Amino acid sequence: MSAVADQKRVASPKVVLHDIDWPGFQALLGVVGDRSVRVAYDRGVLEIMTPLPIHERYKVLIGRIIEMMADELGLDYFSFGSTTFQSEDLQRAIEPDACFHIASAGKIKDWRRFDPETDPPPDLAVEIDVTSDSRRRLGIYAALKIPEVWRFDGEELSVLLLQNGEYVASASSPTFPRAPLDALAAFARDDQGGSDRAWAAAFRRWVREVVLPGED
Amino acid sequence: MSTTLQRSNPAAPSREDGGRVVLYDVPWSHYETLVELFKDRRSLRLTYYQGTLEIMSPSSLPEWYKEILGSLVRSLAAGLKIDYVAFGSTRYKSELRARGVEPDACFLIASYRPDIKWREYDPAVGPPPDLVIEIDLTSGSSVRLKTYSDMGVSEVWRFDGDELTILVLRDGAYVLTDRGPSFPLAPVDRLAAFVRDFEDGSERVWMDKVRAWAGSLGKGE
Repeated sequence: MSAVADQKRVASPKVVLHDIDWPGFQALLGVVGDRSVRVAYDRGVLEIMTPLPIHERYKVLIGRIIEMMADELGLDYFSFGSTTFQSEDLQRAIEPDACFHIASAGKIKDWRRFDPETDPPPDLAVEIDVTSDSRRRLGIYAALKIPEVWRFDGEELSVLLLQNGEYVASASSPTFPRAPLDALAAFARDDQGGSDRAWAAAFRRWVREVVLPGED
Repeated sequence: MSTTLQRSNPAAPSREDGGRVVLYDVPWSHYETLVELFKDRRSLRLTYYQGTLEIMSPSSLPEWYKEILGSLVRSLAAGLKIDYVAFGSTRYKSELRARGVEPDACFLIASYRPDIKWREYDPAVGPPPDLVIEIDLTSGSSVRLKTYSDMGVSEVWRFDGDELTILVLRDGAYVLTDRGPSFPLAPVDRLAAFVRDFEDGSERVWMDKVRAWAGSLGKGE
């Protein structure tokens, strides 16, 4: 646990640039493109971050937690990973750590034709927050009208719901109402000591035993 | 460019943000595209060294630190009667060497020749600067130093808003030194003190002080 806590104190390298217009942003996006880089753009301010390994690790675990729960509970979903969601009209763009269409999965007829500019935004976005301030990023999610944001800081998992243009913390996720957040956080946080395969099997077992019986 | 003489607290950056990211295996063409697009803007600083691209926010230190350090060099040179040419923030870009950097200020001192027509100076072809000045609050950029080393820049002065340090190139790496090769009679402590002592007064008076002190060095005082 201490190795994790130590890594938590080190912030992922990032740069915040001001006075970047949309074409400049698109050019930078073209260069940083397919790398392990997260971008967030808000009306001239561009943040580029290169996540540390611990950040990537948490991203994978939380993403799998969501997918496995949806699998076990029979919820349809599309996972678009860190696709850049952007709106030139709103002058905002963001690359979540992970994102899912769950409630709106039925609206996606062909994921290959998915256009982030015109198709419905994800229902759920994941932010791994091993540094503190993601206020700017939440503002972008709100403008892009993403209903639910999960934030994991390496210790706790919080669920934020969009209400009247702002995010409000919720005790549970409306997508997975029977899943206790602290238990999900524990699965992501605590090192079980085995491989991911064993971890995933244990998680699925937990979902079937604890979460599923609560479903009607 | 007018600069306000009001001295902001060097320890407090003007913006909370800033920082830098480093990307690897970036093609030269991507660097060139960004340089071209951002060349007239001050929104970011780009440094490229053999596939590594560093994107930095602009220095959070006030512009006039650049001016003060430039004036320091000019005053030392005047007092010691050393010839030089200043090239400001010229971009040094070489596709052949796969590197590109824009120092905050740079000078040809040891390489100065009376026949260099500075109007025709081509950074791609002409001698590299002997002295480069780097102003930044954030910790030093190793990508920039690698680039300067590859260019053969003998001396780098670094100012972080508080401390002035002199780095000299030795066996391909920069090491801290007390006196640089450009002004071997001028110890860094004294130069740092001059920078610190620049109050809200006249630059002319301050430059006169530096020049007088430099002049006295030459006389073996």
